[in-house]
Amino acid sequence: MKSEDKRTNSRQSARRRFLKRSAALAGLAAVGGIRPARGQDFLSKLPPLPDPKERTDYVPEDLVPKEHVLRDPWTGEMMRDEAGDLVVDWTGTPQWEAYRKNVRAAGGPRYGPEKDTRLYGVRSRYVTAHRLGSDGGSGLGFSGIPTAPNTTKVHFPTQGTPLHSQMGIITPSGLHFLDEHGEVPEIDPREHRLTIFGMVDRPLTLTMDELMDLPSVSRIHTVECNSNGTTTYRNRLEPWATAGHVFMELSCSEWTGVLLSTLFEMVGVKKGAKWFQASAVDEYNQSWSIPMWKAMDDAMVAYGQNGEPVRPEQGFPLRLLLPGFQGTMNIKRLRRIKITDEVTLFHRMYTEQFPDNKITWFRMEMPPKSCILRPSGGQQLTRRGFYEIRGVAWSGGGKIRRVEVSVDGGKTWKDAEIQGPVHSKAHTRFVFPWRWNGEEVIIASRCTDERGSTQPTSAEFAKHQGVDLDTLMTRGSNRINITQPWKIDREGRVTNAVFSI
Amino acid sequence: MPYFPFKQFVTVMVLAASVGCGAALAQTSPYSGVGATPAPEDLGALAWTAGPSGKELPPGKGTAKQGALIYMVKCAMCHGRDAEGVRWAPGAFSVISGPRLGGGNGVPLFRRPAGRITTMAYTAPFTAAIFNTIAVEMPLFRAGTLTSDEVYNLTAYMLFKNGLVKEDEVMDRDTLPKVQMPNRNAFPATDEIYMDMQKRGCIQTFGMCRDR
Repeated sequence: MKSEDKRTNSRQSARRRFLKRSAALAGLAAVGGIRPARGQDFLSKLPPLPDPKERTDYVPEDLVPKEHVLRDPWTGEMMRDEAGDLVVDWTGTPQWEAYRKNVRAAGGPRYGPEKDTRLYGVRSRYVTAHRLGSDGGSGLGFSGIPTAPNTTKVHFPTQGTPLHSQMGIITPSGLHFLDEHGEVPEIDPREHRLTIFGMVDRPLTLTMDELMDLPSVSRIHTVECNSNGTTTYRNRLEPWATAGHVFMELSCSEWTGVLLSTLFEMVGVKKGAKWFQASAVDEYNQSWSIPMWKAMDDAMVAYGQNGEPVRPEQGFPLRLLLPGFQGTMNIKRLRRIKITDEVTLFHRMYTEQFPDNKITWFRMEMPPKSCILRPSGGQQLTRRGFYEIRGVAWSGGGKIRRVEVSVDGGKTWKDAEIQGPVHSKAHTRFVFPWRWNGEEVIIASRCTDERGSTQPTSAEFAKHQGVDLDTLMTRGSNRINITQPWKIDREGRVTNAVFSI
Repeated sequence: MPYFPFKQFVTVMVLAASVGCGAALAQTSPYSGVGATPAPEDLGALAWTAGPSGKELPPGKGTAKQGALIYMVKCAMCHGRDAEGVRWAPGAFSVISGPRLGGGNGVPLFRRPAGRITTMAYTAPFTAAIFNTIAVEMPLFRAGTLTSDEVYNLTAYMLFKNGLVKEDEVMDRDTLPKVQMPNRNAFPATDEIYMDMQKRGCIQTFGMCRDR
């Protein structure tokens, strides 16, 4: 601080002198008569810096409002960066107000934001994509968790992804969907452990630091709820439903972490082990039993999501990631893994029953699905002519091999272009050039994954379930991957045309 | 004994770990030295979970009669005085709610006959599903705080409220797996179909598994 003042004072007179001469100098320099000052001279002749008390760029430490200094969450100490300077959020401080006043003169209110966003950015205020609260109607007895004030009749703690506003294959972390059955806990990552035990040679407890020292991978995968797109969810059937209302329980991120195969090799899985149980540490320690082959395939424990630590609503500090498997098995706040040789069940028995009364117990892999995102429900075509139809396709069975689009209500299907790189068990972008002639039309997409599974039409799916189409439409199905048609009317309004194809 | 024998468990686990490490020296992982031996708290109630055979059930025992008393204190406010469940009027949200646990009258059927009440006791194909849930996941917001005896008591109580055991029938690691669950035949006899998705046939039919 003191050296800073000295530097300022020694420059002041030199700068004042420079200012007095600057006009004359500029005039002469323009004519070409006087050469500009050399580098070192120039520095010493800079204009004087204002009195530190009046500066709004550099603020001396004793003038920083201490309640705006960020604090270490564990020690409560004021945070300093590597250079030793305080880390401050200037929102609402007098210095911030002074900055806003000055900057308005420079370029207008666009450059004078309400909030200091330098430490962690925000998006334009003209972008309003937001998560969708949902009435899950699950019948599980969760008649409600106290919800924050809202305008939707939010019944179930689901915050769905607005899929129609997603531009690429990655869902922004702030829009990633969540289903929380309790509070989102504040876990101190230093206290968190991962314990692996059971049929192993060396049971192990790992800290987060130790996990981050182990060999890691980073992969792009979707997380999708078992019931994503279910026709038992009424909003999904409404004509005003957007792509987000239809497929809200789906997001795609880059997940960074340690492969389960690495961890299981460390502990030494005993011969005969066929299943592992994964358990959370939160309000009700959700647990699932998962086949061992998935652990040795591509399962991982993830501590990173889209370049930063997994967010609390996505399972900070650690979550299990089973690429392609139903979302609920991707245990958030993973705490324990027990390796065993017997299958078992916990309270989430995600079953489906068929007309012969047989029950399917572990479905695990999500089926192939796709959705046209533009144009999609709630959007408006304003003119005839060229539009690029685009959307995303995904499958729990692997990579998407083929996407077909129909622009005549399902009569004919043409291949869309898949934009690479194609990731396994992840969103895959497809595009389809199209000219709209102003007539009413129903468009839809249909995908095939690398194992040969194709999305069915509604009629094909009903037949597969062993029911007629009417029964499917009234009774609904929890897990369903029928094509998602959109109807475009003569005015260009796009509405939900579920069950049309 | 009422509580899990932690001290003995730790001794056994430490011995097993050291013996395991010693015997497997030729095959130790390249990441050896990372991580520590788990303490008893690290295992938590997941040490008690079991499969259909129940062979991993912990020591302990319980009856429905005892379970009723524990239920009143720890479970009734969410699951109802008579295990009938607690639901609130639409729009009157409360975290104090839970599904019906007792009074089931039949296994789930596709045609959903009127008056059919399918509780977990009528859907679960084996008793360990109920034991696991109570041990690891319940009570909500206080998961992992029950002793093994309490879990046996509450499991017995839940089975009793569905007419599957008598009020003073003792449930322990030997008798609990032997209770005949009404939906036992709905579960495959072996887990082989879950071991190979290709064999299972899911991929052939739109990626939608439908076991026959």
